[in-house]
Amino acid sequence: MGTLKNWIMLGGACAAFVLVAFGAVSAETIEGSIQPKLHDAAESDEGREDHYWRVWNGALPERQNVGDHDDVLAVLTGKFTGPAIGCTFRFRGGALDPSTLAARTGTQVRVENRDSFTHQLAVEGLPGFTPLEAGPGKARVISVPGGGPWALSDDVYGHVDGYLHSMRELVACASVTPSGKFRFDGVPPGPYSLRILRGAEQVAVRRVTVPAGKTLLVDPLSMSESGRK
Amino acid sequence: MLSRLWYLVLTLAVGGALAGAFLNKSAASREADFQLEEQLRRDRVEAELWMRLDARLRLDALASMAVEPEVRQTLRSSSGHAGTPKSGVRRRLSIKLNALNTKLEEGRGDLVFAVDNEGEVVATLEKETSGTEQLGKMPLVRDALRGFMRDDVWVYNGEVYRMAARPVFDGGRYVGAIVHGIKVSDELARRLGAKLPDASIVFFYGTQLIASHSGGTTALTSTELMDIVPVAMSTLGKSTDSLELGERARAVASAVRGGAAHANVGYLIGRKGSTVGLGGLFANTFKEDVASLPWLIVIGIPLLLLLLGLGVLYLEHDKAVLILRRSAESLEKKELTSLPAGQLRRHYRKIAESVNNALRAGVGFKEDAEVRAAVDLDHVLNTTRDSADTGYFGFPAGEAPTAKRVSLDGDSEPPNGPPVEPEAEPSSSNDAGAQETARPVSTATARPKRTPSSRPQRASSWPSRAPSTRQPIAAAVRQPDPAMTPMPDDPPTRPNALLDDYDGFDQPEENTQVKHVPQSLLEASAPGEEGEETHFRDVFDQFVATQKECGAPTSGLTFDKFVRKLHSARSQVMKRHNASAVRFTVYVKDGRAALKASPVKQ
Repeated sequence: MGTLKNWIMLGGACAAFVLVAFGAVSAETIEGSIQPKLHDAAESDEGREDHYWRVWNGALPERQNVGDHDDVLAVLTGKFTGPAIGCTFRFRGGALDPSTLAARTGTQVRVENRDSFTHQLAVEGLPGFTPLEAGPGKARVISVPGGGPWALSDDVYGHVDGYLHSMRELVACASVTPSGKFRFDGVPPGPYSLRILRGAEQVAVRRVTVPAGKTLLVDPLSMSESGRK
Repeated sequence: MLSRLWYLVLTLAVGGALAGAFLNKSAASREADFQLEEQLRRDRVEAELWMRLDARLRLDALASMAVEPEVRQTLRSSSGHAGTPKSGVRRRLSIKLNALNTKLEEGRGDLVFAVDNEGEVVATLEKETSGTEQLGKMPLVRDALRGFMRDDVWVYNGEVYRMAARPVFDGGRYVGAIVHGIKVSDELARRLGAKLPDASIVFFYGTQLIASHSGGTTALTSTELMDIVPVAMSTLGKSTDSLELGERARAVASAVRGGAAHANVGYLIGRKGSTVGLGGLFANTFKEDVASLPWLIVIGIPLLLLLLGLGVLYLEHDKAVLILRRSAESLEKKELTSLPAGQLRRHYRKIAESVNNALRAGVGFKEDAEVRAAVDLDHVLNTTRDSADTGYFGFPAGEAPTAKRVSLDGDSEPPNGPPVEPEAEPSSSNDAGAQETARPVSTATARPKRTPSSRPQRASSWPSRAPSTRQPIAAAVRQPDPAMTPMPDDPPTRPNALLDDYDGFDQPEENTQVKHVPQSLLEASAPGEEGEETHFRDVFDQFVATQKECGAPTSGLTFDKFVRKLHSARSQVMKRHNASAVRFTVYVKDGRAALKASPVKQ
């Protein structure tokens, strides 16, 4: 009886090992945040002469722009062969959300238009991509070869910009909230590299190991930490 | 000479004036182009100012929406952690927005959004909204949410809107924004065109025409303006120069001030310039310009030059013509015997001298001379010829020697009057008879009967003369001259010998006169039957002899036939010239014998 129990425990352990090894047995969560730089976060359009009037209302003080981190994307890279997790992107509010996109090399990335008006996405220098209008509710699919990053723009709205990164071992993507937090859901346990992409640059990277059965809390990342272009 | 110089001056002045006019035309054309370009530049500035003012007016008009309590409360309830308002609240806000929008009248928007401070659209003019629409990342909305009033131009689902947004605050904090948009349409172009008279305006989105206004029937059309939109788009933001649009038409392009400029939304203002021709040089002349002209110079100098030219003309031509005219009248009245050449200069003096010379030489009119001229015998004979024997008188009338008129008016001039020397050509005369002309008429003795042998020799010498080289001058009237006393061996003088001095018989010799004809000659030439028979016989003999000398045939030539012809010719000559007798002489013409008839008047 004891032998049978031992054999059952051994089998279970093997199965758990195999499942853990292939990441299919559990989907863990990674939570983290970035430390925003105020001077980086505040976007300003004051230099653009695309208006006749831009005057303060005279009643209340100007509401400071703390930055919405729309241009920041957190990604995990590592040994994982399944589809990239959470790497969906969209037009929302009149611009790309987020404006930094990442896709696994050789796959396709989908950009949905959730605005009530038409966008016309353009990818500078990406072979085979033709800018076409995408009406409300429509999506553009981009085939991502190796290389990059590529600059993104909108032929209708000049304020729209972004970058598309091609990554060979992309596992998951997570947008960053205005408060600087991000969260990966459904990530198999295992070792990864947590990277923060901002525009054409990688502004932070950290090696993390996702444990099974519990959420990984990552210490706040400084945007200048281990950043590289 | 001065008057010719004056013509040169006049020509240079006219040429200079024309050159100046054309140069002025070119300069005026350039000036017109420059003015057109400047006008377009001002148009663009004016359009920008107008649209700036219009944007401000729209921003101000939005205040009525932003301060509306229902708008503020609804947006406050939607902002922050208050949550999304219910659909009923949204619908009520939509109705309120429509009501407020209607009050804006001319500034009534085609798009109106009420946006909470997260950028989410709470209500629009459409009563049903999804509640998921976001505008927070549009620069216009973002700035409004931060507290700025701002305008912009959007491309929104294929149409272009002039946008304006202003913040909404309630309770001392920002709760959202009101976003307002007016579609760019012909109404906008019309209102803008009202500020730019005669200008045509189009608004374009890419190559698509979205609004247009024509400045009039003669102004550019929207089609003409749209033709240069591709060129205009390539220059947007790069150059502010105007674009040429055909003959004397230009347009200035500008991108709209707003985010839509990225999508090639802009406008064109076009104008046609005035064509500058020579007549158009004064198109822009004002009364003040005319009044400011230095009239003393403008009129005085040409008048002075005119008087100067007239004076020169008078001195050089009119004065001489006046002298000539008066002198000619005096000459006609025989108050003068010649023209006053000394009072004249240059050509007029030469004219007067030539006329005086002619007067001294007694030259008359050709018509008179023809009346008085001897009858061309051949002409006479041809008119009476009834047979084919043209060999005796068959030379052409124009070449026939002219018969001489011999006047027998013995008391016309005294024998010892002043001699009038003929303009003889001694070198061309190798005939012995030519020397007989030096004999005084009074001593000349006619030969009633000449030997036939003497005539062929004289006749044969005539062709050697050059008939056409003689000048028409008065015939000589022989006067006694001691130096020209006849020699004993000189042949007797006869009336026709005078005629032998003349080489050319094709010219009228109207002044040929014989003062005294010997009685014997008159008797010989009298129409008496015996004398006539003798004369005819002499002529016949001379004619036959001359024919033989010339080698011409004489067979068939009989005296009777010859005499019949002479009778016929004599009758016509006498009748035509009212002559009492006719003398025939033989000469050689073109290598054969020919006859001439000379009427003799009593």
